[in-house]
Amino acid sequence: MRRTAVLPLVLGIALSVAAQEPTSTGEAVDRLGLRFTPDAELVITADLAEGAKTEAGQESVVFSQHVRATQGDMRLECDWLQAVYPKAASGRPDRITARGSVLMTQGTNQARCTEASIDNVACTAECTSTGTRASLRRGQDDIEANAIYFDLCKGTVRAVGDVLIRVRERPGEKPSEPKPAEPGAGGG
Amino acid sequence: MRRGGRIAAASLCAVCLGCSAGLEGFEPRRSAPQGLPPAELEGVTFEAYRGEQRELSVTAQRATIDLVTRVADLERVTFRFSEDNRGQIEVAAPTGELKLDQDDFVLSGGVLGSAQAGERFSTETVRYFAARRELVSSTPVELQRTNLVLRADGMNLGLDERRLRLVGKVEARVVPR
Repeated sequence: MRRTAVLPLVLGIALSVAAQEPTSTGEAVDRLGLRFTPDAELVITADLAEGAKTEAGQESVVFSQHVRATQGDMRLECDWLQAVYPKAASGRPDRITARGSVLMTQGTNQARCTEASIDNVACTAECTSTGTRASLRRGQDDIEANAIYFDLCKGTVRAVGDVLIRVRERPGEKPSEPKPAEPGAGGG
Repeated sequence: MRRGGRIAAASLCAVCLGCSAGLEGFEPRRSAPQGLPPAELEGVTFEAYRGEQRELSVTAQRATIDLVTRVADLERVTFRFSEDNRGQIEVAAPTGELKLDQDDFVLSGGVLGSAQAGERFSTETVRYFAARRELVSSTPVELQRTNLVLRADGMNLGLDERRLRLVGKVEARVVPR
């Protein structure tokens, strides 16, 4: 058995997540978004890395082949990743761009796209796909959209463009009619 | 040391142990019997220029120069690359081998490197290819820049473009301050 939620329910999820800003990582994951642990160590591994300057003259390191990045309980996998550092000496990148088969995971939340841009200064991430759609999955349920935006400090999420949400019946759950969304319903 | 009109200068700062009456007549240390004897030097500075620009400076506490193979064995050696306004890159090691005709060298025994902006790297062995102006290490390397630590199985550092390439099991760690 499988049911697909209607759009109002989808919007209800997104709005409820945005309206009640979670205060901890666990709470963010219980809803739908991804949330940074800013004081955690950032570790990036890859087969290859190359230091280069961006067109704007900023220092950057490009990682390629089997790229994995972890910070706290958030994990990112991709084929290519560029970390751009501020001009003032600092070990923490201002901006991270990931390309290829991008998978961002935190708890049971998984975001997939072909390009993700993470702005460490604004504490935001954008997940977009070329030729396909960005998706965000939590357990059996998932969202597809043209672009998915994350506020990584607040743990909120916003899906934009032809948003489709699939809510699948959990084992043992009786099928029921879709009902109007309540704060937190379906998102957690 | 000759390339593109550069002048190589060897300033022998201290004692020349094996050259009191000229180099000829001494037994060679490792060359063919008919070859010239090695010159053993202490407190050595080599300088290589490209035009007016000093491109490479080498200091060593002790050097043994094989005049046949034109290879200098160096102890407690530091190579300094300095170009325009791009800052200086310095690599130092307990031992080194410099090919005088090509400017190629190998440093070993624990190499420490530094660049502008407080960047540092360490590795067991590094090789410099003068023709392509590249430092290459095939031994595990660790680079540090403020609170960023990069590790890999090897590295290539192109001096012309100041392009760093890390190869094999690359790991970057940003330690929170």
